[in-house]
Amino acid sequence: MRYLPWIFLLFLMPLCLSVGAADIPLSDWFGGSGLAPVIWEIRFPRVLMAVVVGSGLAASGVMLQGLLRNPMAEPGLLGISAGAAAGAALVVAPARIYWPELDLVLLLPIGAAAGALGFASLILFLSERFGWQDHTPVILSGLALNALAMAVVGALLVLADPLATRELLFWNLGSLARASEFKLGLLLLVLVGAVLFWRRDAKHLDLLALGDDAARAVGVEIPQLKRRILISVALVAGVAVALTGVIGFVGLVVPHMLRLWRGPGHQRLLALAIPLGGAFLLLVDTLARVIISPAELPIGVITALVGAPFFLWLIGWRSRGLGT
Amino acid sequence: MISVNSVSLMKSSRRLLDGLDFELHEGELLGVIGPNGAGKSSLLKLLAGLWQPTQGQVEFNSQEVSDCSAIERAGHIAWLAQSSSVAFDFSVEQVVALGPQRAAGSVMQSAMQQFGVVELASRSIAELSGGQQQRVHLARVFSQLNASQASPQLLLLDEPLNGLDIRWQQRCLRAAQAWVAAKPKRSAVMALHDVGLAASWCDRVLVLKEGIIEALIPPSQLDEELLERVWRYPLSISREHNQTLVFPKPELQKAEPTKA
Repeated sequence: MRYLPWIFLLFLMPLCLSVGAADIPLSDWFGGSGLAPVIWEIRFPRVLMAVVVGSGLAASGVMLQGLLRNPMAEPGLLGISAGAAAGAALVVAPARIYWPELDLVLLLPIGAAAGALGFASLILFLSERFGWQDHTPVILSGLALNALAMAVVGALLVLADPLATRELLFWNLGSLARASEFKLGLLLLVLVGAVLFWRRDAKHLDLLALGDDAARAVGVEIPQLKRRILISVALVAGVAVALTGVIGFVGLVVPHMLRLWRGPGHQRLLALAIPLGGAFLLLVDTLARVIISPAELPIGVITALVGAPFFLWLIGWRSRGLGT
Repeated sequence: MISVNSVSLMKSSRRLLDGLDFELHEGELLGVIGPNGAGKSSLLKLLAGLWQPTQGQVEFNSQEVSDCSAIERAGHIAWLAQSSSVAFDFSVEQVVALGPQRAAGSVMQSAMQQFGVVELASRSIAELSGGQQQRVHLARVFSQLNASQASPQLLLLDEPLNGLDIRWQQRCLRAAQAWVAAKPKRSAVMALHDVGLAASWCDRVLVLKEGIIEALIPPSQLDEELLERVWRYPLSISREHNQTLVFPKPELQKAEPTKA
């Protein structure tokens, strides 16, 4: 049972590799077939990227929801992804004007991670400064931060040159089309580092479900836990946004479906969210590639089309008192 | 065991506790009583180390309790909140298992039996009545008490009888008393609303009024004058078969006297 989600993911990957603008059967993947480079050089990095980004976003959602004791929390809704997009935009826009030849491959993730960390720190500061016990203000402050980030990106869209404008639009809608080994390696590194912390913290999130005071009484050091999770989520989401743009709702939908299926224990949720979050985004990205083939839809469009109605349903469900 | 030295507590520029000085002895079951807003829960949070006193110290075994790490405190002190709600859809069994360390299955089972929640084990805690939820949390705390060899020495129960019917009230009080008596160097503090139950079950009662200790006495010394002064209501006290009953004076039950 424990390895079933991983086995599912491993079966799904070749399936998604073979479909696309041209369906490529397994027999053409190797040898002299002219289609082999399409599989290995174009689709394979993209499939891996979808899996790693999906895993990261879904696992981030599990951790944030547990931390805030709110099934509506995820990096997108809290403004952390938007902070990353604004951070990345603040790197790209001036760079394209003043240093058009500069390679941004490392600067971009740094800018995005700084933006995400900045917004996460602001949330942390506000919640500590005002002693927010109820987590609704955290979610509402996410709304404000999203608006602020949109304003930054919007202003840069007008001011930046056309080349940068295209890149900025890319972050708003998200795409896995520009996957590369370097990007994949970078994100994987950050994600593995975060998961090492999260595995231990997931147990504490179960205790946190009892409330702040009761959790402290059973040994949870809440300020440290909060800091660790917000910072690690900001790093994962920040790097993911820098590489693939804002892909919303994955961190909302996947943990919630898993919770309905396997219960609320965070260790189990985290263990499932990593393979199945990857599988979810892989399926969505495959859909994005084939739905209007040979053109493709931005992946963020599909996740929002699935996620927004789901979010509305979740609000309705919670308002009937069933969500907690 | 616990020593409270000149402790005052301010929250949002309101003085919740003022100049508290007392000691909790080993093997003692202390009842904290007082009207609404007297500071009972605040006192228990200070004893649990969840809040830090604005002035003075709370020492547990000669160490300032708020200086200990959360995990150190959890090893020595078990605390039950006045009201507990659990986020997400945890089952009864999962909630009972929530503690600093996972209790053995037999320990959890015995705590669940003690509070009659075995048959509710697989149900979601959110579906249960308030009283049943309280029993689940009591089973959680008692399971935590027996989870390890180095079990906690101090049990703090904030309104543990909330929502419990008379049978479970008695079971809960007996469980607390039995836990204290089972091993040396244990003690418990309970904040209670029912003065009669506090007087019947506790070794001493600490009477709080507006954050100040009005009395710290054996229950036998509780008298009507003290009760009326603290609760500002005409009350009678009667003692029979080791049980104390406190009830409003019949002729004045309907008419609450105006404050002088």
